[in-house]
Amino acid sequence: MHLNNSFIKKTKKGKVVKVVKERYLRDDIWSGSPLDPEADPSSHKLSAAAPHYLLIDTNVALHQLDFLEHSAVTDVIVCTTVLEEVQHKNLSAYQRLRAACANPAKRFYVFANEHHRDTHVTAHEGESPNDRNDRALRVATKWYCDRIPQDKCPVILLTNDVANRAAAVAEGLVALGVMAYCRAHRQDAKELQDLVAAATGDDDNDAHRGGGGGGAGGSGGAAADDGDADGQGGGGRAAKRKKLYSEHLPYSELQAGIKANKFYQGTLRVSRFNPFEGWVASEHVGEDILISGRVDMNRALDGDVVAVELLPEAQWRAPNAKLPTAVGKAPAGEGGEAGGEGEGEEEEHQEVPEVFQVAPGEHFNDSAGNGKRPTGRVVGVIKRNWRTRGYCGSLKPQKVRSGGAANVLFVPVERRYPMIRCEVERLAFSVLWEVDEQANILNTHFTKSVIKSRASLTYQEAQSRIDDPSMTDELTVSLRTMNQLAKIMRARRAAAGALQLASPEVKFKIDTETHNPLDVGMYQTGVAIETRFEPILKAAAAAGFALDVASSKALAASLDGAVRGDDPYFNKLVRIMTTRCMTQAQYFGSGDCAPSEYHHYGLAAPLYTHFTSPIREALHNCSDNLNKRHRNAQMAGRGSVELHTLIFFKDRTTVADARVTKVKANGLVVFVPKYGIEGPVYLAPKDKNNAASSGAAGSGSGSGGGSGSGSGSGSRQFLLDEEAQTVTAADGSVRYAVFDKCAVRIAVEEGVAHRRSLVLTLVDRSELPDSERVG
Amino acid sequence: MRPIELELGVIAQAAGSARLHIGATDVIVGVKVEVASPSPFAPTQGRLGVTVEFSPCASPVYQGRFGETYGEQIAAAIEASLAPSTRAGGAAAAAAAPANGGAAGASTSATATAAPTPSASGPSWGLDLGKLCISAGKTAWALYVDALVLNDDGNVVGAVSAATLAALVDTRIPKVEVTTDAAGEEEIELDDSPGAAWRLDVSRVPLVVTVAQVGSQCVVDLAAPEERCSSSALHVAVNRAGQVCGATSSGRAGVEASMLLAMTETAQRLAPGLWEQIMRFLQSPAR
Amino acid sequence: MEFVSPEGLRLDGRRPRELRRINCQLDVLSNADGSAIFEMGNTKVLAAVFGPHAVTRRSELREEGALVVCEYSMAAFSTGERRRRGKGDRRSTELSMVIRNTLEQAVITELLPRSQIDVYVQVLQADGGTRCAAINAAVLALAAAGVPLRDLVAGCAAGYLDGTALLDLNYTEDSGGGPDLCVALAPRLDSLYLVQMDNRLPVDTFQAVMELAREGCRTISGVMRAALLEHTQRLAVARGITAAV
Repeated sequence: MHLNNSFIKKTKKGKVVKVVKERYLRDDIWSGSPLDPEADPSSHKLSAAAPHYLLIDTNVALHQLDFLEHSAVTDVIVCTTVLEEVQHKNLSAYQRLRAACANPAKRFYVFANEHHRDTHVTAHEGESPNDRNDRALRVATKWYCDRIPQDKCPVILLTNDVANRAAAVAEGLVALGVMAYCRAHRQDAKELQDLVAAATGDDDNDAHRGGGGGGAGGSGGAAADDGDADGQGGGGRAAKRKKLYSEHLPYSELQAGIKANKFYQGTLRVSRFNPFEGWVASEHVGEDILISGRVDMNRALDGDVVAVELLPEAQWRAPNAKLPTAVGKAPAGEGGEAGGEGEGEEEEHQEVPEVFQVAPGEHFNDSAGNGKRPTGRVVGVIKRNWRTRGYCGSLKPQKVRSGGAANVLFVPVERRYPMIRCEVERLAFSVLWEVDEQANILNTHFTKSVIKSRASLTYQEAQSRIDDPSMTDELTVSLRTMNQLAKIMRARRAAAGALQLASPEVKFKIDTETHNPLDVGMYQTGVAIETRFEPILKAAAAAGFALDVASSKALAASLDGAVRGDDPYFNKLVRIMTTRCMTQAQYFGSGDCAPSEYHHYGLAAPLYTHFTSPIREALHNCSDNLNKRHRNAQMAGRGSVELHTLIFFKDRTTVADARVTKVKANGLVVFVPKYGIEGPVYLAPKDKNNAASSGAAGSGSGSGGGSGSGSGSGSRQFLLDEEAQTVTAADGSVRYAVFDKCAVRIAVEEGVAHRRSLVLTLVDRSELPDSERVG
Repeated sequence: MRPIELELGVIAQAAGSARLHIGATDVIVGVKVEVASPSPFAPTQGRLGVTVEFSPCASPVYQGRFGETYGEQIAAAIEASLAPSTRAGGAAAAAAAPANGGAAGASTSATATAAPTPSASGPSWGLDLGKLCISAGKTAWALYVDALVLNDDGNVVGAVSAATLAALVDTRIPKVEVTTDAAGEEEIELDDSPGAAWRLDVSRVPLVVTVAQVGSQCVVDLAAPEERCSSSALHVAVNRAGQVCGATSSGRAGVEASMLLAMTETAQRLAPGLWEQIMRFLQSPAR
Repeated sequence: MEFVSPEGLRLDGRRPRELRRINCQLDVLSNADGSAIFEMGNTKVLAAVFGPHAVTRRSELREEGALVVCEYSMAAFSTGERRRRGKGDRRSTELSMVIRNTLEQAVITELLPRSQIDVYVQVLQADGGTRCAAINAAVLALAAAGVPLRDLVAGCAAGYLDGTALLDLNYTEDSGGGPDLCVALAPRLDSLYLVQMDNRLPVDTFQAVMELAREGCRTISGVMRAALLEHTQRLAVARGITAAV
């Protein structure tokens, strides 16, 4: 349309390659104001009644977004020069600015000055791009001044750049800093002054950027908090310039450190409820080392073998008392260093903008050692837990040939380890026992051997053979013999104090009779350290019974005694929770560890050996492999259970009986016996809108910190009592304790990216149908 | 000489470019610069590459790969005139060794260079490639001179040479600075303000003048029909001071030894004037 | 990357349905029977036509019509990054074929049996749309050489980015990953001599993009016609056939 009017302008944006881009300059770009008689009516966006128009500079757009986003700031001209610069420097700021431009109420008019015949400027010889852009804005301001009656509606160039302001004034334009503008023109909206980012008077871009990034330490807290409140804003820019995580140390240094007992090696186990909290088991420390917070976790993932450095005792922390609010929400203030307890706590408060608060008396700061755990930080990753072998296949619905969709699940073959090959002669190392009918071992003989397996059976297959009276073949008969012997052995072990444990992960009803003792054994082992039992001990004490963990026999006995008349399920729950306290069995080659570590707590046997028939590889490779396979198999199992749980509960919201297994300051962890589900329940509903609209409501969260209680709007406050393991509403209306009965509604919700997840919500027990009651 | 028409900056994408008409001969030269690694043999120097291509637009005979060999010959002559050391092996080569006239009928070609007076600072003629070095042994500018012959009406070598000179005058090389970051990695930072780019020093770039032998006469700037009549030609690189910087012979019959001196002298007489004329035109305020 | 701003401007300041600046020069080479430079923004293509003349290779002789031979080449300095393109690389060969096919339909070959027309296309600057610019330059050169044409065929590209149909993509837009539709249209006959598209595009969107490309072809053809007329008039004046207007 305006082809003939436009002329070509080549901008040389010399990288190493000379890039030549055309730019067409137009005469059909309007001012967007009804006060300009030439402006096309369709372009009108600025108000005719505005007291003045603001033309903003890039530094204002970059650093004063909160000011710009305030509803009192309207009728702003945003030049494309500014937009382009902001886009280059800070994408999230650009998006916020664009959002403001798109909001009709804001009346932000984008003036394509770079494409306008009269306002486009070419850089002079020796003129820096910054100077050129400043000049372009002044030219645009002048252009506006020339066509909008200045007595009616002055155009103000809003810039925090002193040099640009001076140049503008010299050219006869009105130019103001943001603060000066607020003071001089916005007495109607004094709160605007609070939104002006604390900045020195002459902040050119670079100087200010430095200030924003370092704001965490200084008094520029307002700016820093604002940025962090929406997780993306100013914080994103600071993050780019600052290293969030310390470097992983090279392998050689890690090895040296481990040898010198400076670092501790172990596998990181991430908390199931908080992705930024985990534990690393270490024999040397004698206790699990707590890794708390994203910075200390230092990019390690669950299952990674990591080297951990123990923090000085003064910095030890207690596990987080709260459930994380929303998965994926970036905790605030992570950039700051975790120096000292108080600061750490404060971060946690920012992370959880809700109003839960730890009851002052129970705050773990006051009594030394109470709740505090050896805390460390990850200094390097020794072995990544790469999940290359995918323990589960695709869990997405897939097209099947018959037409419809089906959920395809790959079940790992590892489930059947050790791989037994039948009717093949293989080299093995065997131990031959001669036993009598009472399963007393008469003779033991270790030997190299050639074995030939007769059959490969799953536990189920074996059990069905044993149970089928019609089967009388040699194999079945010997299976029965073995089963009998196993039963005797198990009884003997039980007498010696073996635990009868329950694992909630098994969805199918656990029939202890059909369970081969070997199978139970594979789940738990004991590097039995009393402190591990602390959570259950606390809970038990709070519930009014005592657990004796001095020996497995004593524990077994006290577990048997843990009964509640009103809740038949109680005993099982206690057992499940006790199981949790034990780390998983580890396979190891018999030479890998000191004999004293062999002990198997759960089985009450000094040594538990799982025989793998053939010697396939070097022994320790084999045990490594077994551990991995076992883990993978478990993960596959969990994945499969998770999937089927989701399928089950999809479109079927259910109310079920549940038991409280953990109390946190802002919620509970409950266990649903019927479905074997355990999950977090929030005491106050998670307010999604609140999180989403933090940009607009950002002013509220600015105060942050420990005093955040004031902003609570109706939501109840809860107090956590660590000792009694209860959480009580501040007004005393509700109280939850561990092992309490409760009822939850189970529903499947679709979250981000169509990811479905199971959501538990607390409902009144009266909603629970009788049929659902457990026990 | 036929009148010369010169146009600068015809190719926007190039760092420098020129289009030159001499008679109906029409060539475009584009100069491009790139950051590259220097040659291991000359770690402190930039790279230089010259190509000459005949567009089939010039004549259907250049369709396909026909013009390639001829183009390469011209490119070699031009490149030798721009950077003595890259091709001649040693700058101290003695007087030109004329091609032997023995191989009559076959096309012969020989390159020879003659250094006027080698000086300590930089080469005595051509471009100072040392200035194109960014970081010794690591990075240097690569200068590519690409000539495209759009129409061949004789004296292509002279036209390409003059157009190359003009394009080099037009060339602006971005200013870069080498900074070393914390890890000891060198990074190149670009000064993108328009005034920062620098120009090459072309004061020592010689012009290649083709002197042909037609009958027993030395003739310069031959048109295409005339070229068909010439038995041999000598391309002589002469700098503004009239010093011979190199010579390449071509032709069917070889250069007669007796004619050699006359041909060289003709070139020496002609070139400085031509050089000044071109520079005067390029620097004239009218442009 | 944002190709169309919310204000409706493209990166170079055009609106979605606008072409770039067009410039045509005719008879720029003295040796060729017809030649033309077609410029579209920063894309600049030179075409030269030799012939009609006798067929050079007798095996290719066609009794029924003229043989059109086409060669496309790119100058080493034509692209942003210097690339030494040998003649006859795959892209050039493919483009030569495309141009040849289009021109064979445009030329009334049956009027020139047993003859050969050579068309050489040289890209001097490339900034997107070289394919269409090459066709336009070739058509202009053919017209300048006096080769009988069915229509003043014009080529134009259109694409679809940011949910908007865009006419005449430049290099940046071309590399934007969207579909790129290249069309050559004989405007008076309203027949398409070339349709090429890469990338996928929903059919209903295709309609819109296609219509836009055709509109672009018609506009370009008009500009080319005007340039030819002006050139012919100038020639006529120069040769004393008519007086200067």
